[in-house]
Amino acid sequence: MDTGFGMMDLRFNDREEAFREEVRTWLAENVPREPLPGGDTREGFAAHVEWEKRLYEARLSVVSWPREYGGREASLWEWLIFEEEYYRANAPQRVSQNGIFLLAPTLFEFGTEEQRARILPKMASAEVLWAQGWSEPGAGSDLASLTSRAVRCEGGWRLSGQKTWCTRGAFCDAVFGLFRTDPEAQRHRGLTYFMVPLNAPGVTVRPVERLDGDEGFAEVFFEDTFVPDRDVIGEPNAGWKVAMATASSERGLTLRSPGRFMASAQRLIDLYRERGGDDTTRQRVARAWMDAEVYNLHTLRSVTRMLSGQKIGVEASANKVFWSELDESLHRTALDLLGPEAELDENAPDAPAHAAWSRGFQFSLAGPIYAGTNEIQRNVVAQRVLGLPRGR
Amino acid sequence: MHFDFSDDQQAFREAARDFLQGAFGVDQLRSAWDDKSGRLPGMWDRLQQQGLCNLLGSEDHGGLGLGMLDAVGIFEEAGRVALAEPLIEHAAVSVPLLTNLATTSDAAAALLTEACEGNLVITLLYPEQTVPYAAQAHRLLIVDGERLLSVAPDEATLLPQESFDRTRKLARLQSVPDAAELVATGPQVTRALAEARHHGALAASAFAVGAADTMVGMAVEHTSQRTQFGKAIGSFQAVQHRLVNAWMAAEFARPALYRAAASVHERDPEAALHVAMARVYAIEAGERAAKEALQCHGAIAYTTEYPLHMWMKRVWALSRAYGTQREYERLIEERILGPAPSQDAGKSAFFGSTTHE
Repeated sequence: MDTGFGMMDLRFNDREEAFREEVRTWLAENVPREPLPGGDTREGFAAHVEWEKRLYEARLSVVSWPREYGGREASLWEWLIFEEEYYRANAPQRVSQNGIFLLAPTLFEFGTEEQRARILPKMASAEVLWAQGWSEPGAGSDLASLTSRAVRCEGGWRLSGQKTWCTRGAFCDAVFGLFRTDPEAQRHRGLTYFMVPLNAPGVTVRPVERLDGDEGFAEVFFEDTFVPDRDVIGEPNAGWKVAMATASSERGLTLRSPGRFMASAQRLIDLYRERGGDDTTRQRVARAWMDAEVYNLHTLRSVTRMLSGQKIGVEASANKVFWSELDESLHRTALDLLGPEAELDENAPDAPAHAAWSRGFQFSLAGPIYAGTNEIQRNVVAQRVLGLPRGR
Repeated sequence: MHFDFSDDQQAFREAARDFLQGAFGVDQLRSAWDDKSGRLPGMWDRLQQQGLCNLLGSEDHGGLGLGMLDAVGIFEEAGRVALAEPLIEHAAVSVPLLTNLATTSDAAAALLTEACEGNLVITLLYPEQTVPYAAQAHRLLIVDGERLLSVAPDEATLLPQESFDRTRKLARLQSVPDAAELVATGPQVTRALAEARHHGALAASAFAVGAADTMVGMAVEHTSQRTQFGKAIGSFQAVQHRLVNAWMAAEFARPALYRAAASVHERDPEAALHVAMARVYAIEAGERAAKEALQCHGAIAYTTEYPLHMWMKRVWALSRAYGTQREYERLIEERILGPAPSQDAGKSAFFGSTTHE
């Protein structure tokens, strides 16, 4: 029907589809036939870094970045397409993601030219792997109560304190995080954003084992560690603003792309087809597929509005709640399909071909916790979208 | 890729919103609730003047020739004010049904022209369907198998049914009247009805999302002002999280709703799947908003002195009037997972292998 006030365009254009073809072909030719050992083990991590280098050589490790830093200036649409194909191909986990999706946007917005030139190419090529040092034992959801400090000295700062819950901290080369540089200032005031090599003098990394078997999780201790001025992002004492600027809009989109969940949902459908299930199971499998589809549609709408100049603000907090709960529910359904085999370790002789589901399920329970707990995200939506009064 | 409405579509919706909010506030809804017709006298004519009754009718027969993508926002705005008029039934069921048949049936074409002039046409599926506003219609369209018939309501034996929503004056047709005239027959009726179902279900879904917004908004306003224990109750986390969950349900229903509207508008081969998805999320959003809004208000909203019950009852009725949630879920399951197996799959080792029963 051509009548009416206009049509929506829910298809990608020829150029975007050509990019999809290129990515799909490259992945088909390059994704390892046998899955790599888990990126959360020391041995597996090294293999995953090798994979990152191959992506980089194909200019596919940071597709949306400027060419000078190793990207190919892909649009947001192309990035979404890349992610769709990446997860559809069951390509290896991206061990560089904390740097690429958390540190890099900060450098693009608040970094100097010198910092970008020095840091980004090595991030893109996986020469340097980054971990986020955000939480402390006494400061998780209440990040502003952090106590790790940095004291001014000749040419830089001396850092002391402790960061915890660092994903891949035991394997990475460097960490970024906030330190208190103005001892008189309270809470989110007087914080500075630092980048620190993990082999710097005074840094100790202590691995912490996770319930899903991950070996890379770590605590990081700083004892008078020197950091030069050039490794501060933004102004001293303005670190909170630097850290939070990318916390909503882009993070809401880039932390987890819809492609990841659409691929998981398709695999769940494949598992259902293999195993069968009752009426309720069918309902749950279909719901996983629907939720992934709705998350994709929601993202397409958000990106459309962003590209037409509308600001997507704190509503993006709801995205995180949506995908993390969808992911947990999807994996729970998978475990129910596996039945008594669900608990088998992937090395057990009878382990089903889909043993990765149980690890995926365990990791999905971390989803409502990391990147801001779902309780905090709901508080943010309540107060800053619905306008409800603050409780404290 | 551009998943947003055109400027014209947005302007059209905004004009409808301004009109509806001005013409149909809470006082008007209460009047409709108390009126024996369940409606506000004169409101239908005003809707007709705004072009909202014949949106989806073909231009050749006096309609606006618009599609679902243009109309979906209008139904959402109607839901926002809990409009007590047969807008869904007339504009989103009967008019598309007749538009579909008008090219091959002179009787359908004539009826469509009448409908586009604002004469109320109500469709019902004989024998099961109980529909609102049947007794007030200018003409009734009766679907009896592959036959589409039309009759004046006073020549039909309509059994009135009370609804908990007093604006919905329901009736069931007890028998097909001899006086009913044949409008069309054959597979074309079935096809036209399928499309009318999509339009109707989608319009009701949009209505539910609009109503959900209003209910959450009422609860936000109330809880921001109501104080207990020295604080606004809206500052309590449990209250905040309930309302956020309701808000999120509508927020994530909208993309499914709008995508389905595009599919119906373009006659996409997957329109049935998309409508089913939109329906599942939209109705959940309506039900969730009703539940959380009531709970967060407490007893005050449990009384009819407070207006919330009128939105809740409309949503409760619409949730089941155009097919049940489970029916729509099954439609999706069939499409995505293939046909349902006839028996439950095998049992786990703990219960032993399946035995013949």
